[in-house]
Amino acid sequence: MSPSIVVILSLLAFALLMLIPFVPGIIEFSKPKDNKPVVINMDYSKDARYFGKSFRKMVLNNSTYNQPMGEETIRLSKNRDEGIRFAMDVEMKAGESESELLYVTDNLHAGNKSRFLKEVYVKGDCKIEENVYMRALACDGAFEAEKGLRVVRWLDVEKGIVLKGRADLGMSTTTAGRLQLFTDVRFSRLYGNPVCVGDVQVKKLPNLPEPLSYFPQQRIDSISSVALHTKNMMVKPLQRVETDVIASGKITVSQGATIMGSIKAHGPIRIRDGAVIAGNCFGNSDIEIEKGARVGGNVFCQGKLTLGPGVVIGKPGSVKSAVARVGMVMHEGVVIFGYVLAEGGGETRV
Amino acid sequence: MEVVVLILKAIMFFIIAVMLIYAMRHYLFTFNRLMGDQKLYYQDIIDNDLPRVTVLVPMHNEEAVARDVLTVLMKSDYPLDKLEIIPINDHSDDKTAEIINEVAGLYPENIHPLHRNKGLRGKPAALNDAMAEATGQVILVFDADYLPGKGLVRDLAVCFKDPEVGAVMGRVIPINSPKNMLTRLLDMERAGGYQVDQQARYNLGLVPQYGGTVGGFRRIVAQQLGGFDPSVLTEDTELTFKLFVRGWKVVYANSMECYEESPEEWDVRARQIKRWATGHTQTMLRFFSPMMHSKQLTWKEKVDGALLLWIYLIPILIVIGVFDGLALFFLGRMTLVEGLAFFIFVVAYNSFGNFAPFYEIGAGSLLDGSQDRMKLLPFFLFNFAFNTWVISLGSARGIFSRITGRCVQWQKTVRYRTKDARVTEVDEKDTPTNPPKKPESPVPETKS
Repeated sequence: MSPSIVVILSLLAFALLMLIPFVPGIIEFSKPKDNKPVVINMDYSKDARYFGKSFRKMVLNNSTYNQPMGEETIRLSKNRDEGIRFAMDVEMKAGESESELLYVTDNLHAGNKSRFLKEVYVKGDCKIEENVYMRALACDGAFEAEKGLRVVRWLDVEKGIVLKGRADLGMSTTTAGRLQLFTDVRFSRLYGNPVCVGDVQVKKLPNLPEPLSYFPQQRIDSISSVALHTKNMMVKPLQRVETDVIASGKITVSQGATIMGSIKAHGPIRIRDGAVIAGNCFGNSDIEIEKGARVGGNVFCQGKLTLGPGVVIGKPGSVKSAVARVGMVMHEGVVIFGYVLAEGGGETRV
Repeated sequence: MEVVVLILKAIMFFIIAVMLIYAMRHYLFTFNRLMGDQKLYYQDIIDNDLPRVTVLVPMHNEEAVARDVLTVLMKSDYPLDKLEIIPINDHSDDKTAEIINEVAGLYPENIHPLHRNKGLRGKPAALNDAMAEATGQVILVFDADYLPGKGLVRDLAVCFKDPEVGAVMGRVIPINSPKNMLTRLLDMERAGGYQVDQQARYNLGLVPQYGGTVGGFRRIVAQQLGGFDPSVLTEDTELTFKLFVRGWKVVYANSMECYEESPEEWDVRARQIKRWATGHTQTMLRFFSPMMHSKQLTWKEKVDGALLLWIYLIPILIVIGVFDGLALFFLGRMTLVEGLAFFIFVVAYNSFGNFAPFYEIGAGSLLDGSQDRMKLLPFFLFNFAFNTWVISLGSARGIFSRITGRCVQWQKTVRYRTKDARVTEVDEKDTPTNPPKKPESPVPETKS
């Protein structure tokens, strides 16, 4: 074969090998299967009680049934029609199982080990006995459950929740009223006014000082102009700090100390007995808040959050949050005015 | 001659070392995003005491889009008594002013127009004037062609509860990605840049960038640090480093998404990235030394800050490397180091090292739930060559303007949406391979 033919063939082979990786892309470009932008839900608005409110709206908007008892098929989503059973008072016997969507116009009483395999909407109150299994439930009255409750997805109640024993609360348990938990409750998201662990009487709590404004009048040259910025910070017992505290390492707030602003640490945070943080508490590592300490604002933790006995987050009339990425433990007497999120799972210990 | 060869080889070694560092950085970010711990953003904080917010919307001849952005902002779920919107009419000679006044007339308590017909033109100067009028503790900025969702203002503002946060950046998603090959590639590039790069920097405690739109900052801090410098073409990068060097953090909010328009023509894209390269280089020359001497930063932050500042000079290094290599080749002195080990290193780098940015872009698409668009990855070879050339020109212009003291004019990116084409949310039924990002249904499909 002459050298020129070899060169031509080599060039052709080179061109072909260079072209091969582009063939799938050329096909995708000419007959696109995946060219649309990522979908953004323009109407999305954060609501802790989203599941319950959305379900109620779905049922009420799609149901035309106006009798207290009977059945109907309703459209729950674009691709899903479901049968729904209407009933007045429902008394589930021990061990019974309900496999349809249930709409209860009055009260619900669920016996031991009864099972609700689909969503339930109760207009009245709920009384739940031991070891009941439910997929999801919305209740417009009050909700009370004995030990062993298992919620697979969500529970939303208007007038307050009392869980008297261990429970597994699924993705979300929320109420506009008081949410009372006891020992060995596993949770992901909670919302209540407030959320309490144990038999806590939320008496008139001592007033918390208002956190200082972040915007002092002095000249700002760096973050040190507006906050105490340091590597590690140890606030002495009963000491009062009149500013925000930011540490690249750890922060320890000793017994009875008061921080009039917010705190932020990239290392662990430890807030000892009876200490007070008037503002918010942010940690890039673990946060441990010990007995009787109070945080007036939010607690946001990229590690594990431990709330000791009697810890209070927020204050009456406010809505604040306790958020932890790795996990959360709440001991007896913890009170949180608002929202709780434990991404890695949470548990109560009484 | 030996001295010349030595210098050429030293330059080549330097360039290889720099490219290796950046390749490792890309891989670190991609691995972190795919397999590492993902830091939470602040959107899960529910708080009924939110800061007062002023939303600034700079507009220069934006009659096609002005009404949409203001109307959408008024649908926000942010408490109205804490929300102020300032549309800034910056020397417009179309109907922008009339449209702004018309919409402001419907919401006089919340929309307070600012009409600028005198003084310096351009976004930095417009923002400075608006900040002087603003009453919010927090400033959020949206470009006029953006369409913020209902909860976006709240979710961006809540991060300022953290005393260390100085600025926040959300994620931009091109809405015109189906238009042509350029928009498809830009969509993927954005996914790599935001979904992987920015999020990884946030995860690792490094330097996410404030991008000038779908983001915000603390008003008084920005004002006291001198506001925006009109002579810098990328006021967003300048603010990022102004805050960073002084100890504030920029946080990245990956799920705070907003649609944008990306350039649909190559010359428009060229002007855009040339501006970015010029501005970024101006910022690099201004902040490199202060950053390295800052007492507020850890060594890790300084190293990554330096890598971020120098990133737009990489294309210039690549061009220099190509000519350096050619010179060594024609001098017959191409072998840098004798031996098999170095040869294997070069082969490995050429296969995997150069692959790093493509890997990052592919990872971004994967995380978005997109699969078929990854078939377009080889086309980034052309995009790479285009960017290398244009960025080199832009960076050189930045260095030149610093040396000579010449000001470079700020130019607005072309808009494509016409006033008759109302952009609404993308219909999820058109995206078979993109799972819609929305809250989980209270009643999902049950398995039998």
